[in-house]
Amino acid sequence: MVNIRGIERAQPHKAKAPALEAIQLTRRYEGDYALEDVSFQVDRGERVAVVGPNGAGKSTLFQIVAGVLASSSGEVKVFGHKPLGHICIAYVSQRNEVDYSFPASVFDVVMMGRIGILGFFHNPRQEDRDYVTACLETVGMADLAHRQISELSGGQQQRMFIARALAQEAELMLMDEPLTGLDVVSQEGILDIMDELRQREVTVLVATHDLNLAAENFDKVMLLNHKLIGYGPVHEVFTPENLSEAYGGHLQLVETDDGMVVVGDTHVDGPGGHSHA
Amino acid sequence: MPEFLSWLVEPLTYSFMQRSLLAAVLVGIVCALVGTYIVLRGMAFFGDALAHAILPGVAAGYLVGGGTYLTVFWWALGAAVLASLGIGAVSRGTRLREDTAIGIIFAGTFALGIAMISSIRSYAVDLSHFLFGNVLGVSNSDLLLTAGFGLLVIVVIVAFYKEFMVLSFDPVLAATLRLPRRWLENLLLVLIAIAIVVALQTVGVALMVAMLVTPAATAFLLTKRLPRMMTLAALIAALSGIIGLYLSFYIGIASGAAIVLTCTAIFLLVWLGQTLKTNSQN
Repeated sequence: MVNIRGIERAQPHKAKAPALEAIQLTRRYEGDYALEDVSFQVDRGERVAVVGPNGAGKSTLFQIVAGVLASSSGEVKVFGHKPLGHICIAYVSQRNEVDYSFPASVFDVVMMGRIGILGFFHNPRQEDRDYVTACLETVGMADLAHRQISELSGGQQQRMFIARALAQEAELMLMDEPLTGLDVVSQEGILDIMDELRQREVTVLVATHDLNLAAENFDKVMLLNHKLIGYGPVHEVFTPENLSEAYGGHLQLVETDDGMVVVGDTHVDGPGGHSHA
Repeated sequence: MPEFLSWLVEPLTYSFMQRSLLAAVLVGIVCALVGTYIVLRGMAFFGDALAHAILPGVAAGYLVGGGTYLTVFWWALGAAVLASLGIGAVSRGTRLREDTAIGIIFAGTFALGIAMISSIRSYAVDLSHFLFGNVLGVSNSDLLLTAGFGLLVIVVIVAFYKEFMVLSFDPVLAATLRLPRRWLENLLLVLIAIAIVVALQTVGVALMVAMLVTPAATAFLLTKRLPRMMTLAALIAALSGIIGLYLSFYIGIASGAAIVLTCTAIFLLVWLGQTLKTNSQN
Protein backbone atom coordinates (compact mmCIF):
# COMPACT_ATOMS: atom_id res chain seq x y z
CA MET A 1 0.00 0.00 0.00
CA VAL A 2 1.28 3.41 -0.92
CA ASN A 3 2.00 5.70 1.98
CA ILE A 4 -0.18 8.60 0.88
CA ARG A 5 1.47 11.14 3.08
CA GLY A 6 4.92 10.18 1.89
CA ILE A 7 6.49 11.46 5.09
CA GLU A 8 5.86 11.56 8.81
CA ARG A 9 3.56 14.26 10.06
CA ALA A 10 5.02 17.29 11.77
CA GLN A 11 7.32 16.34 14.56
CA PRO A 12 7.05 18.07 17.92
CA HIS A 13 9.67 20.77 18.29
CA LYS A 14 12.53 20.10 20.66
CA ALA A 15 12.08 22.25 23.72
CA LYS A 16 15.24 24.33 23.70
CA ALA A 17 16.46 23.83 20.15
CA PRO A 18 17.12 26.99 18.13
CA ALA A 19 14.63 27.84 15.38
CA LEU A 20 17.22 27.09 12.74
CA GLU A 21 20.65 25.54 12.76
CA ALA A 22 22.83 24.99 9.68
CA ILE A 23 25.89 22.80 10.07
CA GLN A 24 28.58 22.90 7.35
CA LEU A 25 25.96 23.23 4.65
CA THR A 26 27.31 22.72 1.13
CA ARG A 27 25.56 22.59 -2.23
CA ARG A 28 27.36 22.04 -5.53
CA TYR A 29 25.96 22.52 -9.04
CA GLU A 30 28.07 20.68 -11.59
CA GLY A 31 31.28 21.30 -9.70
CA ASP A 32 30.62 24.94 -8.71
CA TYR A 33 29.82 25.77 -5.14
CA ALA A 34 26.45 27.44 -4.67
CA LEU A 35 26.99 27.17 -0.95
CA GLU A 36 30.22 26.18 0.73
CA ASP A 37 30.53 25.12 4.35
CA VAL A 38 27.86 27.44 5.74
CA SER A 39 27.17 27.14 9.47
CA PHE A 40 24.99 29.40 11.59
CA GLN A 41 22.24 29.42 14.19
CA VAL A 42 19.08 31.52 14.43
CA ASP A 43 17.20 31.81 17.71
CA ARG A 44 13.44 31.75 17.99
CA GLY A 45 11.73 34.98 17.12
CA GLU A 46 14.84 36.55 15.60
CA ARG A 47 14.71 38.52 12.39
CA VAL A 48 17.68 38.00 10.11
CA ALA A 49 18.54 39.66 6.80
CA VAL A 50 20.48 37.48 4.39
CA VAL A 51 22.52 39.77 2.18
CA GLY A 52 24.76 39.14 -0.77
CA PRO A 53 25.13 39.79 -4.47
CA ASN A 54 22.96 38.10 -7.11
CA GLY A 55 23.75 34.42 -7.39
CA ALA A 56 25.38 34.35 -3.95
CA GLY A 57 23.33 31.31 -2.96
CA LYS A 58 20.60 33.06 -0.96
CA SER A 59 17.73 31.30 -2.73
CA THR A 60 19.63 28.01 -2.62
CA LEU A 61 20.08 28.39 1.14
CA PHE A 62 16.36 29.09 1.63
CA GLN A 63 15.31 26.16 -0.51
CA ILE A 64 17.53 23.79 1.43
CA VAL A 65 16.24 25.11 4.75
CA ALA A 66 12.65 24.74 3.50
CA GLY A 67 13.38 21.14 2.55
CA VAL A 68 12.58 21.80 -1.11
CA LEU A 69 16.16 21.22 -2.26
CA ALA A 70 18.69 18.72 -0.94
CA SER A 71 22.12 19.80 0.22
CA SER A 72 25.22 18.07 -1.16
CA SER A 73 26.55 17.75 2.36
CA GLY A 74 25.98 19.22 5.78
CA GLU A 75 22.85 19.36 7.84
CA VAL A 76 19.88 21.60 8.60
CA LYS A 77 17.91 21.44 11.80
CA VAL A 78 14.66 23.30 12.28
CA PHE A 79 13.51 23.32 15.90
CA GLY A 80 15.87 20.39 16.42
CA HIS A 81 14.74 18.19 13.52
CA LYS A 82 15.40 17.84 9.82
CA PRO A 83 13.24 20.20 7.70
CA LEU A 84 11.19 17.38 6.13
CA GLY A 85 9.57 16.64 9.48
CA HIS A 86 7.97 20.07 9.53
CA ILE A 87 5.02 21.76 7.95
CA CYS A 88 5.72 24.94 9.90
CA ILE A 89 8.32 26.30 7.46
CA ALA A 90 6.99 28.80 4.93
CA TYR A 91 8.95 29.74 1.84
CA VAL A 92 7.68 33.01 0.44
CA SER A 93 9.29 32.93 -2.96
CA GLN A 94 9.94 35.78 -5.35
CA ARG A 95 6.65 37.07 -6.59
CA ASN A 96 7.11 36.18 -10.22
CA GLU A 97 7.28 32.44 -9.62
CA VAL A 98 3.56 31.65 -9.81
CA ASP A 99 1.06 32.05 -12.62
CA TYR A 100 -1.15 34.98 -11.69
CA SER A 101 -3.75 34.07 -14.30
CA PHE A 102 -4.57 30.99 -12.20
CA PRO A 103 -8.30 31.05 -11.38
CA ALA A 104 -8.02 31.79 -7.68
CA SER A 105 -8.98 34.62 -5.36
CA VAL A 106 -6.79 36.04 -2.60
CA PHE A 107 -8.85 34.02 -0.12
CA ASP A 108 -8.30 30.80 -2.11
CA VAL A 109 -4.54 31.30 -2.17
CA VAL A 110 -4.33 32.00 1.58
CA MET A 111 -6.50 28.94 2.26
CA MET A 112 -3.92 26.85 0.37
CA GLY A 113 -1.62 27.44 3.34
CA ARG A 114 -3.94 25.40 5.56
CA ILE A 115 -3.94 22.31 3.37
CA GLY A 116 -0.99 20.74 5.20
CA ILE A 117 -2.78 21.15 8.53
CA LEU A 118 -6.12 19.94 7.15
CA GLY A 119 -4.69 16.75 5.68
CA PHE A 120 -6.16 14.54 2.98
CA PHE A 121 -9.92 14.25 2.57
CA HIS A 122 -10.66 17.07 5.02
CA ASN A 123 -12.28 20.14 3.60
CA PRO A 124 -11.88 23.56 5.21
CA ARG A 125 -14.44 24.21 7.94
CA GLN A 126 -15.82 27.47 9.23
CA GLU A 127 -12.96 27.80 11.73
CA ASP A 128 -10.45 27.50 8.88
CA ARG A 129 -12.27 30.20 6.95
CA ASP A 130 -12.24 32.40 10.05
CA TYR A 131 -8.53 31.73 10.48
CA VAL A 132 -7.83 32.73 6.88
CA THR A 133 -9.85 35.92 7.35
CA ALA A 134 -7.85 36.71 10.49
CA CYS A 135 -4.58 36.20 8.58
CA LEU A 136 -5.82 38.55 5.87
CA GLU A 137 -6.70 41.11 8.53
CA THR A 138 -3.19 40.86 9.97
CA VAL A 139 -1.67 41.85 6.64
CA GLY A 140 -4.40 44.43 5.93
CA MET A 141 -5.91 42.55 3.00
CA ALA A 142 -9.33 41.52 4.37
CA ASP A 143 -11.14 43.86 2.00
CA LEU A 144 -9.38 42.28 -1.00
CA ALA A 145 -10.22 38.68 -0.05
CA HIS A 146 -12.37 38.04 -3.10
CA ARG A 147 -10.19 39.76 -5.64
CA GLN A 148 -8.60 37.70 -8.38
CA ILE A 149 -4.84 37.44 -7.82
CA SER A 150 -3.90 39.00 -11.16
CA GLU A 151 -5.59 42.22 -10.01
CA LEU A 152 -3.16 42.83 -7.14
CA SER A 153 -0.24 45.24 -6.93
CA GLY A 154 3.24 43.93 -6.14
CA GLY A 155 2.97 44.86 -2.47
CA GLN A 156 -0.47 43.26 -2.22
CA GLN A 157 0.83 40.05 -3.78
CA GLN A 158 3.62 39.96 -1.23
CA ARG A 159 1.23 40.55 1.66
CA MET A 160 -1.04 37.78 0.35
CA PHE A 161 1.85 35.31 0.45
CA ILE A 162 2.74 36.40 3.98
CA ALA A 163 -0.91 35.82 4.93
CA ARG A 164 -0.65 32.37 3.38
CA ALA A 165 2.43 31.66 5.50
CA LEU A 166 0.44 32.78 8.56
CA ALA A 167 -2.45 30.50 7.56
CA GLN A 168 0.10 27.69 7.37
CA GLU A 169 0.84 28.54 11.04
CA ALA A 170 4.46 28.88 10.01
CA GLU A 171 6.98 29.41 12.79
CA LEU A 172 9.91 29.88 10.45
CA MET A 173 9.36 32.16 7.45
CA LEU A 174 11.87 32.39 4.64
CA MET A 175 11.19 35.39 2.42
CA ASP A 176 13.08 35.68 -0.83
CA GLU A 177 13.42 39.33 -1.88
CA PRO A 178 10.03 40.37 -0.44
CA LEU A 179 10.89 44.07 -0.70
CA THR A 180 12.42 44.18 -4.15
CA GLY A 181 10.48 46.26 -6.65
CA LEU A 182 8.08 47.67 -4.06
CA ASP A 183 7.55 51.38 -3.49
CA VAL A 184 8.59 52.84 -0.13
CA VAL A 185 5.06 52.78 1.30
CA SER A 186 4.62 49.09 0.43
CA GLN A 187 8.04 48.31 1.90
CA GLU A 188 7.04 50.04 5.13
CA GLY A 189 3.84 47.98 5.16
CA ILE A 190 5.75 44.70 4.86
CA LEU A 191 8.19 45.79 7.59
CA ASP A 192 5.24 46.61 9.87
CA ILE A 193 3.89 43.10 9.30
CA MET A 194 7.31 41.74 10.26
CA ASP A 195 7.03 43.61 13.59
CA GLU A 196 3.71 41.86 14.11
CA LEU A 197 5.39 38.52 13.30
CA ARG A 198 8.03 39.19 15.94
CA GLN A 199 5.31 39.54 18.57
CA ARG A 200 4.06 36.12 17.56
CA GLU A 201 7.57 34.70 17.98
CA VAL A 202 7.79 33.83 14.31
CA THR A 203 11.39 33.55 13.17
CA VAL A 204 11.96 35.40 9.91
CA LEU A 205 14.80 35.20 7.39
CA VAL A 206 14.70 37.75 4.59
CA ALA A 207 16.93 37.64 1.53
CA THR A 208 17.61 41.11 0.20
CA HIS A 209 19.94 43.12 -2.00
CA ASP A 210 19.36 46.26 -0.06
CA LEU A 211 22.14 46.79 2.49
CA ASN A 212 20.57 49.89 3.98
CA LEU A 213 17.28 48.14 4.59
CA ALA A 214 19.09 45.18 6.10
CA ALA A 215 21.14 47.44 8.37
CA GLU A 216 18.13 49.34 9.69
CA ASN A 217 15.44 46.73 10.23
CA PHE A 218 16.95 43.46 11.39
CA ASP A 219 18.35 41.92 14.58
CA LYS A 220 21.15 40.24 12.72
CA VAL A 221 22.54 40.23 9.22
CA MET A 222 24.14 37.41 7.31
CA LEU A 223 26.60 38.31 4.58
CA LEU A 224 26.72 35.52 2.04
CA ASN A 225 28.62 34.93 -1.14
CA HIS A 226 28.69 31.16 -1.51
CA LYS A 227 30.61 31.18 1.77
CA LEU A 228 29.37 32.74 4.97
CA ILE A 229 31.39 35.95 5.21
CA GLY A 230 29.83 37.35 8.34
CA TYR A 231 26.89 36.73 10.65
CA GLY A 232 25.82 38.74 13.64
CA PRO A 233 24.79 42.27 14.63
CA VAL A 234 24.97 44.82 11.83
CA HIS A 235 27.96 46.78 13.14
CA GLU A 236 30.06 43.63 13.43
CA VAL A 237 29.21 42.27 10.01
CA PHE A 238 28.97 45.26 7.68
CA THR A 239 32.63 46.17 7.91
CA PRO A 240 34.47 47.47 4.83
CA GLU A 241 36.57 44.27 4.74
CA ASN A 242 33.55 41.96 4.83
CA LEU A 243 31.61 44.00 2.28
CA SER A 244 34.42 44.14 -0.20
CA GLU A 245 34.93 40.40 0.24
CA ALA A 246 31.24 39.84 -0.54
CA TYR A 247 30.89 42.29 -3.37
CA GLY A 248 34.40 42.56 -4.75
CA GLY A 249 35.19 46.00 -6.12
CA HIS A 250 31.60 46.78 -7.09
CA LEU A 251 30.66 48.72 -3.97
CA GLN A 252 31.11 52.29 -2.99
CA LEU A 253 31.88 52.39 0.71
CA VAL A 254 31.48 55.63 2.65
CA GLU A 255 32.28 56.13 6.32
CA THR A 256 29.75 58.28 8.17
CA ASP A 257 29.73 59.94 11.57
CA ASP A 258 28.28 57.02 13.47
CA GLY A 259 30.69 54.65 11.84
CA MET A 260 28.08 53.03 9.61
CA VAL A 261 28.95 52.12 6.10
CA VAL A 262 26.65 53.55 3.47
CA VAL A 263 26.66 51.76 0.24
CA GLY A 264 25.80 52.81 -3.27
CA ASP A 265 24.18 50.64 -5.90
CA THR A 266 24.21 47.05 -4.78
CA HIS A 267 22.52 45.39 -7.70
CA VAL A 268 25.63 43.72 -9.04
CA ASP A 269 26.81 40.23 -9.84
CA GLY A 270 29.16 38.52 -7.48
CA PRO A 271 32.77 37.79 -8.41
CA GLY A 272 31.74 34.29 -9.46
CA GLY A 273 29.55 35.86 -12.10
CA HIS A 274 27.23 32.89 -12.41
CA SER A 275 23.67 33.02 -11.26
CA HIS A 276 22.14 30.19 -9.32
CA ALA A 277 19.25 32.19 -7.96
CA MET B 1 -43.42 24.77 -31.42
CA PRO B 2 -44.68 21.16 -31.60
CA GLU B 3 -42.58 20.88 -34.70
CA PHE B 4 -39.50 21.88 -32.74
CA LEU B 5 -40.44 19.42 -30.00
CA SER B 6 -40.76 16.55 -32.37
CA TRP B 7 -37.42 17.61 -33.85
CA LEU B 8 -35.96 17.30 -30.36
CA VAL B 9 -37.73 14.08 -29.43
CA GLU B 10 -37.30 12.10 -32.61
CA PRO B 11 -33.64 11.11 -32.09
CA LEU B 12 -34.51 10.00 -28.55
CA THR B 13 -36.86 7.32 -29.91
CA TYR B 14 -33.81 5.41 -31.07
CA SER B 15 -32.11 3.47 -28.30
CA PHE B 16 -28.70 3.88 -29.95
CA MET B 17 -29.16 7.65 -29.73
CA GLN B 18 -30.11 7.44 -26.06
CA ARG B 19 -26.95 5.49 -25.33
CA SER B 20 -24.83 7.82 -27.43
CA LEU B 21 -26.18 10.90 -25.71
CA LEU B 22 -25.52 9.43 -22.26
CA ALA B 23 -22.00 8.42 -23.27
CA ALA B 24 -21.23 11.79 -24.85
CA VAL B 25 -22.44 13.72 -21.80
CA LEU B 26 -20.52 11.53 -19.38
CA VAL B 27 -17.33 11.54 -21.43
CA GLY B 28 -17.62 15.31 -21.85
CA ILE B 29 -17.85 15.87 -18.10
CA VAL B 30 -14.94 13.54 -17.30
CA CYS B 31 -12.68 15.06 -19.96
CA ALA B 32 -13.58 18.61 -18.94
CA LEU B 33 -12.71 18.02 -15.27
CA VAL B 34 -9.38 16.40 -16.07
CA GLY B 35 -8.90 18.97 -18.82
CA THR B 36 -9.12 21.84 -16.33
CA TYR B 37 -5.78 20.73 -14.90
CA ILE B 38 -4.38 20.09 -18.38
CA VAL B 39 -5.18 23.69 -19.34
CA LEU B 40 -3.93 25.22 -16.09
CA ARG B 41 -0.68 23.25 -16.17
CA GLY B 42 -0.01 23.74 -19.88
CA MET B 43 -0.18 20.02 -20.68
CA ALA B 44 -2.20 20.15 -23.93
CA PHE B 45 0.60 18.64 -25.98
CA PHE B 46 1.03 15.89 -23.40
CA GLY B 47 -2.69 15.10 -23.59
CA ASP B 48 -2.61 14.94 -27.37
CA ALA B 49 0.46 12.72 -27.32
CA LEU B 50 -1.01 10.41 -24.72
CA ALA B 51 -4.18 9.96 -26.76
CA HIS B 52 -2.11 8.90 -29.76
CA ALA B 53 0.24 6.75 -27.69
CA ILE B 54 -2.56 4.39 -26.66
CA LEU B 55 -3.07 3.22 -30.24
CA PRO B 56 -0.76 0.17 -29.91
CA GLY B 57 -2.79 -0.89 -26.87
CA VAL B 58 -6.00 -0.40 -28.80
CA ALA B 59 -4.62 -2.45 -31.69
CA ALA B 60 -3.37 -5.24 -29.44
CA GLY B 61 -6.70 -5.41 -27.65
CA TYR B 62 -8.47 -5.48 -30.99
CA LEU B 63 -6.29 -8.29 -32.33
CA VAL B 64 -6.53 -10.33 -29.14
CA GLY B 65 -10.23 -9.84 -28.44
CA GLY B 66 -11.49 -10.08 -31.99
CA GLY B 67 -13.14 -6.68 -31.88
CA THR B 68 -14.92 -6.64 -28.51
CA TYR B 69 -14.83 -3.22 -26.93
CA LEU B 70 -14.18 -4.60 -23.46
CA THR B 71 -10.85 -6.16 -24.46
CA VAL B 72 -9.86 -3.04 -26.39
CA PHE B 73 -10.74 -0.95 -23.33
CA TRP B 74 -8.47 -2.84 -20.96
CA TRP B 75 -5.55 -2.95 -23.38
CA ALA B 76 -5.95 0.72 -24.13
CA LEU B 77 -6.07 1.51 -20.42
CA GLY B 78 -2.86 -0.43 -19.85
CA ALA B 79 -1.15 1.34 -22.75
CA ALA B 80 -2.34 4.75 -21.57
CA VAL B 81 -1.10 4.31 -18.01
CA LEU B 82 2.24 2.94 -19.25
CA ALA B 83 2.65 5.74 -21.79
CA SER B 84 1.76 8.50 -19.33
CA LEU B 85 4.21 7.27 -16.73
CA GLY B 86 6.76 6.52 -19.48
CA ILE B 87 6.67 10.04 -20.89
CA GLY B 88 7.25 11.38 -17.39
CA ALA B 89 10.19 9.03 -16.86
CA VAL B 90 11.82 9.81 -20.23
CA SER B 91 11.63 13.56 -19.71
CA ARG B 92 13.01 13.27 -16.17
CA GLY B 93 15.70 10.77 -17.08
CA THR B 94 17.36 12.55 -20.00
CA ARG B 95 18.70 15.99 -20.77
CA LEU B 96 16.01 16.39 -23.45
CA ARG B 97 13.28 18.94 -22.96
CA GLU B 98 9.95 17.45 -22.02
CA ASP B 99 8.20 18.37 -25.29
CA THR B 100 10.95 16.63 -27.27
CA ALA B 101 10.58 13.49 -25.17
CA ILE B 102 6.82 13.63 -25.66
CA GLY B 103 7.24 14.04 -29.43
CA ILE B 104 9.47 10.97 -29.69
CA ILE B 105 7.17 8.70 -27.65
CA PHE B 106 4.07 10.11 -29.34
CA ALA B 107 5.10 9.46 -32.95
CA GLY B 108 6.84 6.16 -32.20
CA THR B 109 3.91 4.57 -30.40
CA PHE B 110 1.38 5.97 -32.88
CA ALA B 111 3.33 4.42 -35.77
CA LEU B 112 3.44 1.10 -33.94
CA GLY B 113 -0.33 1.22 -33.48
CA ILE B 114 -0.95 1.96 -37.17
CA ALA B 115 1.45 -0.82 -38.18
CA MET B 116 -0.42 -3.29 -35.99
CA ILE B 117 -3.86 -2.27 -37.24
CA SER B 118 -2.70 -2.38 -40.86
CA SER B 119 -2.24 -6.15 -40.48
CA ILE B 120 -6.03 -6.50 -40.13
CA ARG B 121 -8.11 -7.07 -43.27
CA SER B 122 -10.76 -4.43 -42.60
CA TYR B 123 -7.96 -1.99 -41.90
CA ALA B 124 -9.47 1.27 -43.10
CA VAL B 125 -12.84 1.01 -41.33
CA ASP B 126 -11.40 -0.17 -38.01
CA LEU B 127 -8.66 2.42 -37.99
CA SER B 128 -11.11 5.21 -38.65
CA HIS B 129 -13.22 4.10 -35.68
CA PHE B 130 -10.22 4.27 -33.39
CA LEU B 131 -9.00 7.53 -34.83
CA PHE B 132 -12.28 9.39 -34.98
CA GLY B 133 -14.58 7.53 -32.62
CA ASN B 134 -17.87 5.75 -33.11
CA VAL B 135 -20.18 6.88 -30.35
CA LEU B 136 -23.26 5.70 -32.26
CA GLY B 137 -21.99 2.14 -31.84
CA VAL B 138 -21.93 2.29 -28.01
CA SER B 139 -23.58 -0.79 -26.48
CA ASN B 140 -25.16 -1.11 -23.04
CA SER B 141 -22.11 -2.86 -21.60
CA ASP B 142 -19.81 -0.19 -23.14
CA LEU B 143 -21.93 2.42 -21.46
CA LEU B 144 -21.61 0.71 -18.09
CA LEU B 145 -17.84 0.55 -18.43
CA THR B 146 -17.68 4.21 -19.45
CA ALA B 147 -19.91 5.18 -16.54
CA GLY B 148 -17.91 3.14 -14.04
CA PHE B 149 -14.53 4.56 -14.93
CA GLY B 150 -15.93 8.01 -15.58
CA LEU B 151 -17.39 8.15 -12.08
CA LEU B 152 -14.12 6.88 -10.65
CA VAL B 153 -12.25 9.78 -12.27
CA ILE B 154 -14.81 12.29 -11.01
CA VAL B 155 -14.64 10.93 -7.45
CA VAL B 156 -10.82 11.06 -7.36
CA ILE B 157 -10.73 14.60 -8.84
CA VAL B 158 -13.14 15.78 -6.17
CA ALA B 159 -11.38 13.89 -3.36
CA PHE B 160 -7.95 15.38 -4.18
CA TYR B 161 -9.29 18.74 -5.29
CA LYS B 162 -7.28 20.90 -2.91
CA GLU B 163 -4.06 18.94 -3.32
CA PHE B 164 -4.23 19.06 -7.14
CA MET B 165 -4.96 22.79 -6.93
CA VAL B 166 -1.86 23.50 -4.80
CA LEU B 167 0.28 21.22 -6.94
CA SER B 168 -0.81 23.06 -10.09
CA PHE B 169 -0.60 26.60 -8.68
CA ASP B 170 2.55 26.47 -6.58
CA PRO B 171 4.71 23.31 -6.54
CA VAL B 172 7.04 24.93 -4.01
CA LEU B 173 4.15 25.35 -1.57
CA ALA B 174 3.18 21.72 -2.19
CA ALA B 175 6.74 20.78 -1.21
CA THR B 176 6.81 22.87 1.97
CA LEU B 177 3.41 21.48 2.97
CA ARG B 178 5.05 18.06 2.51
CA LEU B 179 2.45 16.82 0.04
CA PRO B 180 3.66 13.67 -1.75
CA ARG B 181 4.26 15.48 -5.03
CA ARG B 182 5.52 12.65 -7.20
CA TRP B 183 2.64 10.45 -6.08
CA LEU B 184 0.06 13.16 -6.83
CA GLU B 185 1.66 13.96 -10.20
CA ASN B 186 1.46 10.31 -11.19
CA LEU B 187 -2.11 10.05 -9.93
CA LEU B 188 -3.05 12.98 -12.16
CA LEU B 189 -1.32 11.34 -15.15
CA VAL B 190 -3.26 8.13 -14.51
CA LEU B 191 -6.52 10.09 -14.31
CA ILE B 192 -5.74 11.73 -17.66
CA ALA B 193 -5.01 8.27 -19.08
CA ILE B 194 -8.32 6.87 -17.84
CA ALA B 195 -10.24 9.88 -19.17
CA ILE B 196 -8.68 9.34 -22.59
CA VAL B 197 -9.59 5.68 -22.70
CA VAL B 198 -13.12 6.44 -21.52
CA ALA B 199 -13.44 8.98 -24.36
CA LEU B 200 -11.91 6.67 -26.97
CA GLN B 201 -15.22 5.44 -28.34
CA THR B 202 -16.79 8.88 -28.40
CA VAL B 203 -14.26 11.08 -30.17
CA GLY B 204 -11.40 8.74 -31.01
CA VAL B 205 -7.67 9.26 -30.71
CA ALA B 206 -7.17 12.08 -33.17
CA LEU B 207 -9.75 14.49 -31.77
CA MET B 208 -9.23 13.63 -28.10
CA VAL B 209 -7.21 16.72 -27.24
CA ALA B 210 -10.19 18.90 -28.14
CA MET B 211 -12.35 17.19 -25.52
CA LEU B 212 -9.57 17.66 -22.98
CA VAL B 213 -8.73 21.31 -23.55
CA THR B 214 -11.46 23.16 -25.46
CA PRO B 215 -14.29 23.16 -22.86
CA ALA B 216 -11.79 23.85 -20.06
CA ALA B 217 -10.20 26.69 -22.02
CA THR B 218 -13.64 28.18 -22.73
CA ALA B 219 -14.47 28.02 -19.02
CA PHE B 220 -11.11 29.62 -18.20
CA LEU B 221 -12.13 32.65 -20.26
CA LEU B 222 -15.46 32.91 -18.44
CA THR B 223 -14.47 32.72 -14.78
CA LYS B 224 -11.67 33.43 -12.35
CA ARG B 225 -12.42 30.78 -9.75
CA LEU B 226 -11.36 27.15 -10.03
CA PRO B 227 -14.59 25.45 -8.84
CA ARG B 228 -16.61 27.55 -11.28
CA MET B 229 -14.14 26.81 -14.06
CA MET B 230 -14.59 23.08 -13.50
CA THR B 231 -18.38 23.32 -13.35
CA LEU B 232 -18.60 25.49 -16.45
CA ALA B 233 -16.19 23.26 -18.37
CA ALA B 234 -18.31 20.21 -17.52
CA LEU B 235 -21.51 22.00 -18.58
CA ILE B 236 -20.00 23.21 -21.85
CA ALA B 237 -18.67 19.75 -22.64
CA ALA B 238 -22.00 18.05 -21.85
CA LEU B 239 -23.89 20.57 -23.95
CA SER B 240 -21.42 20.13 -26.81
CA GLY B 241 -21.98 16.38 -26.67
CA ILE B 242 -25.75 16.81 -26.97
CA ILE B 243 -25.67 19.48 -29.67
CA GLY B 244 -22.99 17.58 -31.59
CA LEU B 245 -24.99 14.38 -31.63
CA TYR B 246 -28.14 16.16 -32.85
CA LEU B 247 -26.07 17.74 -35.61
CA SER B 248 -24.66 14.35 -36.46
CA PHE B 249 -28.18 12.84 -36.52
CA TYR B 250 -29.78 15.50 -38.70
CA ILE B 251 -26.96 16.56 -41.00
CA GLY B 252 -25.34 13.16 -41.22
CA ILE B 253 -21.80 14.12 -40.25
CA ALA B 254 -19.38 12.04 -38.16
CA SER B 255 -20.40 12.18 -34.50
CA GLY B 256 -16.94 12.77 -33.00
CA ALA B 257 -16.23 15.59 -35.41
CA ALA B 258 -19.65 17.12 -34.75
CA ILE B 259 -19.04 17.16 -30.98
CA VAL B 260 -15.59 18.70 -31.34
CA LEU B 261 -16.85 21.29 -33.82
CA THR B 262 -19.55 22.29 -31.33
CA CYS B 263 -16.95 22.69 -28.56
CA THR B 264 -14.84 24.81 -30.88
CA ALA B 265 -17.78 26.96 -31.94
CA ILE B 266 -18.68 27.66 -28.30
CA PHE B 267 -15.07 28.56 -27.59
CA LEU B 268 -14.93 30.94 -30.56
CA LEU B 269 -18.20 32.61 -29.52
CA VAL B 270 -16.96 33.14 -25.96
CA TRP B 271 -13.55 34.34 -27.12
CA LEU B 272 -15.14 36.74 -29.58
CA GLY B 273 -17.54 38.03 -26.93
CA GLN B 274 -14.66 38.60 -24.51
CA THR B 275 -12.56 40.36 -27.11
CA LEU B 276 -15.42 42.68 -28.06
CA LYS B 277 -16.12 43.38 -24.39
CA THR B 278 -12.48 44.21 -23.66
CA ASN B 279 -12.24 46.45 -26.72
CA SER B 280 -15.41 48.35 -25.83
CA GLN B 281 -14.07 48.94 -22.32
CA ASN B 282 -10.82 50.45 -23.56
